[in-house]
Amino acid sequence: MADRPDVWQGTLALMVLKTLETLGALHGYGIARRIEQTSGDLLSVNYGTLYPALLKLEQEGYIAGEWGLSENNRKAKFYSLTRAGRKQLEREARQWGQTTEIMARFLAPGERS
Amino acid sequence: MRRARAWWMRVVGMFRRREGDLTAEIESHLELHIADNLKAGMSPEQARRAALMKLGGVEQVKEAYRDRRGIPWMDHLIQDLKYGARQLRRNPGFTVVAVLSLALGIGANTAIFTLMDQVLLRLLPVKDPQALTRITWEGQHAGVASMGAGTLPYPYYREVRDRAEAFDGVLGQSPVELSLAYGAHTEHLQGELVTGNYFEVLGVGAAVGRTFRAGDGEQAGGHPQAVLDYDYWMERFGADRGVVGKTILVNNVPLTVIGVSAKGFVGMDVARGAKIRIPISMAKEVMGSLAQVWNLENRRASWVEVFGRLKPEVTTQRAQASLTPLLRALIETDAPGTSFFGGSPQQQEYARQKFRETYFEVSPAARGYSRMRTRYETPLRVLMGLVVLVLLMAALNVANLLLARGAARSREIAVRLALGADRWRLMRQSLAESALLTLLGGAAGVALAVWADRVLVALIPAGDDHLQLNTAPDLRVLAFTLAVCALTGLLFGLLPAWSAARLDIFTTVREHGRSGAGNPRLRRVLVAAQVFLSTLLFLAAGSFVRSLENLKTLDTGFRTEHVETFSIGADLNGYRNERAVQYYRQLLERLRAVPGVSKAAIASMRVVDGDWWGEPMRIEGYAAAPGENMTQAFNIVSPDYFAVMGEPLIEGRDFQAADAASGHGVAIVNETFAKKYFGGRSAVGHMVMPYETGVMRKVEIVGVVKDSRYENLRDTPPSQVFLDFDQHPDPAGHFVAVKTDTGAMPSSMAGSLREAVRSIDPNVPVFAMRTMEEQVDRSIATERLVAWLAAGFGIVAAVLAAVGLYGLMAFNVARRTTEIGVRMALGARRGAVTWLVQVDILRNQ
Repeated sequence: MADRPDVWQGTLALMVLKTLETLGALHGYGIARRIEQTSGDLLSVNYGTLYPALLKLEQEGYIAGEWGLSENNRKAKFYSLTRAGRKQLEREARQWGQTTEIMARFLAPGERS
Repeated sequence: MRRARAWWMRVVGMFRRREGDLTAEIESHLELHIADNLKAGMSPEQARRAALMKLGGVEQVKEAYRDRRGIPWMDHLIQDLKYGARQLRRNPGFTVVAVLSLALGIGANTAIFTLMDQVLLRLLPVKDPQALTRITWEGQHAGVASMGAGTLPYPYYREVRDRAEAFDGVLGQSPVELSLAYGAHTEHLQGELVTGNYFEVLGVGAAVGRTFRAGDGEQAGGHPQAVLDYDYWMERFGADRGVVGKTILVNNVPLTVIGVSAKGFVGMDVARGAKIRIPISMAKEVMGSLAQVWNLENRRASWVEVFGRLKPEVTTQRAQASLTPLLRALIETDAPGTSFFGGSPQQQEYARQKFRETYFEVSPAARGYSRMRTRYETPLRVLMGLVVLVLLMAALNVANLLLARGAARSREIAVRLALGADRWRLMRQSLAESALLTLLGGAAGVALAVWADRVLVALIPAGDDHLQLNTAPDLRVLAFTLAVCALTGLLFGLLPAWSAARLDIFTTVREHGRSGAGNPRLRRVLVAAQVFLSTLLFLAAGSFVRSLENLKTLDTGFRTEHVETFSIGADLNGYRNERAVQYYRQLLERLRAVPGVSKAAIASMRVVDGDWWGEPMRIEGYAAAPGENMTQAFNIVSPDYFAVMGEPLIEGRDFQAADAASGHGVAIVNETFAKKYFGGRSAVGHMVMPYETGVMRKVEIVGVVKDSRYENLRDTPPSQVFLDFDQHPDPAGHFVAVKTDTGAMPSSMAGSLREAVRSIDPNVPVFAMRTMEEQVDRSIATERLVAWLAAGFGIVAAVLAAVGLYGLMAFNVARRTTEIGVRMALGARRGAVTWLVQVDILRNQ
């Protein structure tokens, strides 16, 4: 567990937004599980850090929370993407794509000038 | 946008804490996780443990969540303030003393600052005040009758207005006293004659109707109009818009009210408070009694106060330089043809030379101009200095109290530190408490200041009216107070905060707060500083009180008992020349007939009221040196005036009824005059030639009267000349004095005296009714005010110092209770213990 890198704040927000886009309304635990699974268990989310991040996204108006019942009939707060959240996801995903592309070119072997 | 929204949500989050929601969300998270773990085959206990570990601790998550929900530092601040408020509520005695100390200190500062701001600091509420300058005519211009220092003759003003290129506009004004009749009521008030461009140059509009336009001041006698001051319109006309277009009688001249000037505008002289403005072209009509002076074409009378608006980028120096050729041309026109008063050809040449050396000066006037400013500047600065000392005392006092309290709480603080409290946070708590104290003190201080200013303004005499100052605190004053509060709070708050933060946990806990805590040396220094400051304040107060006593016991030269005085303005109501002579004769007869009056007299000018009337004179038998100032303090008085005022004649005789008809001009001079110009010889029988406002007359000295104070009580009497009121062809009596029978109280005569004046003409206003004792009292009112205030501040300072000293000693004794108990158990006598404490007190001084 210790050798798996922690998810840092900036990317966590992006992952949360993407998760909600893919799966629709979901509770905090579900989001945490999903992020861990998608990363192929390579990333470890300290589940606690998720809640302040969710609150931040909610304050910014990218997601909205609503109380509902979970699949096994437990009370849970379900988060869903707002329209602003969708736009933000698009924007961030594009930026992230550019960044990785640049880094990839930079690090590609045999292209030293 | 998003960020702003997030911040707003956080601000909201500080007040809408949904703790229940947070707990529920985390619980549901754990339940979901446990359920999954159970499905994966863990035992219930294992499942719960794993879930908790994965979450990272319930309380930690909640704390991180809370930090995100609100704004942490503001949350803390609110907590600190709440904590501070609780502390203050728990120690009402401490709080009351501290708040009162601060209220006195801050209140005194706010009160004096309010006055200082208005008299000395504030910019005029006009368009771009920084560009305004005053243009004065400086130097000796003999042969020109001057109605005020630095004024210009109207033709000179016109030249500057039309030709000076450094200015965007040049306005002129002249203060006048007026008698205004509207409806059934006549009143005496301050007004201003202003040039037609006055409002345009200042950029001041009208609240109602319109103001004057540039052309309005041009044609002599052509603009019988008036603009009312806003406050006066509110007060006298009840803000009635219908007054525009109505006719008022000003000095018996009908004028049409064309408008009301903008709210907040009080003119260039903030203290004069002119209530009505009249086109300067109406000067002669309205001010007729000195027709020679109020003449727009007269180059030999200077009476216009001139202000100019500098063009952008032009400095006062450049403007002044640009005026020089202008004045040169004026002087070259006027110098040769003018009969310079001064006797011998050498003297005339000297005066002409001086006239050629006169110059225009341009000085900044963004704050307007006021004679009162020069008069009150020093007292106000001195008072400001004193109140700063008082505030310093108050701050030291509260610092001391806080230190004592901090010492008493040192164990609590040590325990909190031991439990891991953040020192910085402790300091902030202490500061928050100080901030609360200052705010409370500041609020009480502002209330105190409003009240104090009202009293102060009422106590300062200024002419016949009280100072036209606004005592309500405005934003500027409140900003000042807030700044003072912040500074004070830091001053007295930092010390205790710092000493709380430096507390040594181990010693404090071990010694049960018996010693060390509260830093007694620091507190001793504070108390010593207080004692020093209060001594300083007392010394200052003492010197003011002493100079006041000196003025009070001074020989004024007149006897003030049983003399009632009042002012009238019959000349303003159209009594001129023969009618005036008749009027005053009748007036004195009626006054003498009032029961209880033994003598009545009239003079042109009230004495010891800040007025000065100088007239240059030639004295036969005295050869004046070239350039010698032959201006004599002047007054025109009726027979019996000296008897009423109790000024004995030391030689010759008083004016007599027979003089009036004799055609032979007579004068009386004072002792100083006689000594100065005749040395050991007798002055009686010599001729003097007063050049009274343009007319030269030859009169014979028939008597010498003992010296008495003239303009005020401070200055020694100048050389004086009195002319006979009854001989004047166009007398203007303003100061009436009656001697009452010894049985009658002068102040009880007011009603019957007023009635006597009304019985001749009810439209002549009577004002400034006061006994001569009150008059003398008024003339030292500023000194008295400063002395009383200084004494008051001294007492406040002493009380504060006493409170501080008491606090320190009470604390020291409390700290040594055990020691004293042991001493007494071992046989020390009470006296010895008292001695011990007394020595400690003395050591603190």
